[in-house]
Amino acid sequence: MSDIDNKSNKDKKENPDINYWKSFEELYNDPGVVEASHHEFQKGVTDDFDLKKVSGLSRRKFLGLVAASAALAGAGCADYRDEGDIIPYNKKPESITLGKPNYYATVANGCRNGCGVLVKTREGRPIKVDGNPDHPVNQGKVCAKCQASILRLYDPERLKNPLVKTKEGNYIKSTWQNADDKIRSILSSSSGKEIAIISKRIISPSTKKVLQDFQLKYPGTKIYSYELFNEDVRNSAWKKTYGTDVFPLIKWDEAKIIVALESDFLGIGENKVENAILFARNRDVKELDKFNRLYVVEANMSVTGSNADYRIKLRPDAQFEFVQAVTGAVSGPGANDPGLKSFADKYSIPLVKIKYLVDDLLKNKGKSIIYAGDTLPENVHIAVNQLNEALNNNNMYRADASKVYIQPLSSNEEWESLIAKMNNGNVAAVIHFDSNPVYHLPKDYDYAGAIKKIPAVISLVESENESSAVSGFVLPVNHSFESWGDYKTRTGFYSMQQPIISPLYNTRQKEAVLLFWTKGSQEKFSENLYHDYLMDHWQNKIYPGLKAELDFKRFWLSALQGGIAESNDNPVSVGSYNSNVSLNSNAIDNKGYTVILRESYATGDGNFANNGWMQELPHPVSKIVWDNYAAISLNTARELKIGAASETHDASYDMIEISVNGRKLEIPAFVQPGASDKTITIELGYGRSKVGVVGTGVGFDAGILMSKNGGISNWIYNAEVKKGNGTYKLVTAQEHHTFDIGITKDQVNKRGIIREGTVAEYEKNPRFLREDNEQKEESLYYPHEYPGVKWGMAIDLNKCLGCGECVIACGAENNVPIVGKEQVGKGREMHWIRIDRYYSGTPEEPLVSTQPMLCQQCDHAPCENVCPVLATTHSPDGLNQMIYNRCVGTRYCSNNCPYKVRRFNFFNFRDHFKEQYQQTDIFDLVYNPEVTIRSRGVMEKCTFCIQRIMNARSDAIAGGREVKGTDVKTACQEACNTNAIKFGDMNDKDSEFFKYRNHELGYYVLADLNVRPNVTYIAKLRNTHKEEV
Amino acid sequence: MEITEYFQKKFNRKKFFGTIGAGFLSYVVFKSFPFNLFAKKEKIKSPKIKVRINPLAVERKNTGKNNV
Repeated sequence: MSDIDNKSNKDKKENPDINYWKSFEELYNDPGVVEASHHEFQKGVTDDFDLKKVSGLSRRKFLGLVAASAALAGAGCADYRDEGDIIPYNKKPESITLGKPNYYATVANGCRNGCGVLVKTREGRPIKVDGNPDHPVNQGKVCAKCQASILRLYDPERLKNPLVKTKEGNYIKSTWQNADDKIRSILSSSSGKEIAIISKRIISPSTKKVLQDFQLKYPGTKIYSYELFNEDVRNSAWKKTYGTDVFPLIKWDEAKIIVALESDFLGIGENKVENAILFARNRDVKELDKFNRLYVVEANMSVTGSNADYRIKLRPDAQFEFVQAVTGAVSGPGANDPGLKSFADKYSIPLVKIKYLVDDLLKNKGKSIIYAGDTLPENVHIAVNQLNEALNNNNMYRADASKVYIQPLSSNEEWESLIAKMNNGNVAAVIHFDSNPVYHLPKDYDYAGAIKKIPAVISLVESENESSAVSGFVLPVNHSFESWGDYKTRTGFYSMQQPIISPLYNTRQKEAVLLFWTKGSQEKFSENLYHDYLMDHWQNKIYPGLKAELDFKRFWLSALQGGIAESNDNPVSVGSYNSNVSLNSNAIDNKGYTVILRESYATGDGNFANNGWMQELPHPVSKIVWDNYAAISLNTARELKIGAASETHDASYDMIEISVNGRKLEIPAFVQPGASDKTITIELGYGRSKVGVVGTGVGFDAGILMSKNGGISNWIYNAEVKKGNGTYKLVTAQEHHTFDIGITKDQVNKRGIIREGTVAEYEKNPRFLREDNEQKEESLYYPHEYPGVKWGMAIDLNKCLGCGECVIACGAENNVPIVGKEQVGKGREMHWIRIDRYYSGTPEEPLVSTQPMLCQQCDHAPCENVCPVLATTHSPDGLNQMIYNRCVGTRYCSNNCPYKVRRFNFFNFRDHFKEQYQQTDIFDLVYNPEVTIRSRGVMEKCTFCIQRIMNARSDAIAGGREVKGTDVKTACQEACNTNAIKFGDMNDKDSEFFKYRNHELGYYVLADLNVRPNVTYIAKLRNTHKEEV
Repeated sequence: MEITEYFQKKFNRKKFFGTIGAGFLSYVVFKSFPFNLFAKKEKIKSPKIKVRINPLAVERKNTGKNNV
């Protein structure tokens, strides 16, 4: 294990010029990384035969063996794969046209946001999730998790039948009737004792009504709800400052200056999709005067931080002091306030950045917003509210809509009371209403111990989890795409949920299960029970208040088709400012370590732990897959004597031991550039013990550090940290498929892979990036003629957040397999689009640049020339095509691709991942029938979604017209929340796409190779101060 | 080559038919041998699935905004 301190001492000449790097190993010229970059594949992946070791087989014997093998293969493998049967519809459903997709508007309830989605179905099966363009919040976009939620529908490990625990502790298959009868009997005989229903945040009015009806039938019932990550602290701070219940929505698209304090509002958390949409509206190079300026003050590098114009690293316990220092300056002497200098000196922050911030806030009074993150304590939120008030930023709060919380979360006292009742034998039954309190609640509640004393524990869950494992009855419930529902998260509308498919297994909707228990035992269960209840509730309770013009039936069908029902409820007013709020202004004197526990980008609160697409999505910042880790700074690593990674390039990371009031966790440490010293950031949602073959045992459960009483906040704790025992293998994709580092150390800059500047530079000289890049290189090849449509792409790096949503969308559209941690570790991930993330500057204060990298569809494609079997060819509309049937797997094309965007199937990954998880019949249903499933030995790459192009062409032919550039949207383009990806016809000079394609800031990656790529990148402009030009 | 040597090296007729017979027998045995016994077994069982559209749901024909 190499020691970072020694490494950095070797090269102390940290280059102040632009010097892009992806990892410490690259920055410090680790010989292993430099050597690896020269090669297409990692060491050992494609070892040649050693001829000396090959046995001297005779020719005759060889031919005999070939013949015998052929006979064996012919006879034994004749039924190698069951192709299945193709049977025509006996009775074709009216809504289906074979080969044509249908779309359904609904809601995916994988998280608390309740975004409206549009699900594409083929012949009745859902295959792709995108945003519903009619939905007022997410406006046609969704996050990566929402897209990946379709995988849960086809999870082969979903529960298929009710399970009942035997006396011996085994689960046996049961029937619904048996379970219903037993549970009804238990509930009816619970008089005098409590029935506890434990749910996650309830956002459906009709679900709430079901629970109320259940309470009427069984009066001892009490509802408890929780959400591991929530906005309650921000809301309570707002109530103290302004007197109203809910923190208002923010006009991200109108703020000129945005200051995010420990807030990853573009990366995770509530409304991140809407936030990103609104934020990126003011990052358009065609409207430079609208460019906003983003300051981020945070402890660890986040998605938001990596997109900041100015980033200040600061430990979370100093945030309150920071807000006070800024408040003192803006309400006093301004940027020259001595308080700013003493704060900057105390925390080793560049004073100039804070001065710029204060200047900007004063110059943009009423046009700026300061936003504190969910994890920060209440006094920071109150101080931020006061600062916004002092800056007259009230008009940055939206008046057109506000958030709605129809059911408050249970308080700490309520949970403690429940646990006490459970321990005292006063609870007759506990119902886990699609929740997992054993995993989610802080361990010092000892919920797992208390639940053992309950005579009847019932879990309504889609798949097994830690809470179902301690339940007597495990009842399988519908996926959200098999469910009915209504959701209320905002004023002005309801989101409507409808089933895209009838239940695949013997499951029931969770609301229907409770509803059925409220009915008499003589009644028979109907699949439409909850649908009828929902309609009835709407017809009698909600619809009359909406004053809709349509009669109810037409209104209902219209609401289902559109995915929303408009309502006329008024937004909550901002309220009146209370200047007398008392603040605990004592700064926390913390010289030790601080731990921040965050929501996982990949798995959320652990809900997506069994989702292979999310686990394999490289983390937007660290690029680590299939794990969580403790992110620490370089100085902290030196202090703890932690190495960055092994010199042998085996990705071993040192373990650290974190103790919070006796609660201990050992977890690998990852040195994160830009992290603040003595701060450890860990994502929750990992370390699941009961979740299925994909997610079980992946990562570490950092939830054990949480306490019911909280620390600095519920998610931030003072901690003791020391180096732990041994090492752990973390797999990061950041060095995979890298450009050859070669002799030129800073080739990313010199070869124009990343080109960027500032708004001020661009205003001064709009062609500043082109001046050294104007010459038109001559080519040895005759140019191709493209008389008709020529497809091309433009990627605006000003809007790209590096979030990776395009990666998931591409995988879902193009049937990209999951390969698993071990294979990613060998550089064999199959994603057709990757997000390259570069750092520049020093490890302590890095700048971040992101760049989506996919097949550039070069006009003079180097891959085409070298294919011995013409498996990769050029199309008349400018596409570099891949013909799988011809491919014999020489990998010459991959070797010759300068962009490293080709992917080789080293295995048939469908039977080479987690007990053939992807090889099951149910998993097959997720595949897009328009895209070939590739098997072992075949090369693949981005096709610009050729299937969508062909569909558009077919529609144009049917309509008797020429295909247009705007007819096609690629999957990555459709998914991009910020519309950073543009696609269209390069020959259509009137199109919007053409303007981006030929923008002054447009450039080609590796333009010096003259391969004439068809992907243009719009250079990133940082909106820094003019004085810095 | 002398004629006796030629007949000695020639493939014996009886042996020829024996080989053909054995080959055929081997082929029949080989063909009927249950090779699937050695195939990878699906460790995760998934039952036969029937895809059914919910008749009460309302579909769209395209993705466009306000497709009502």
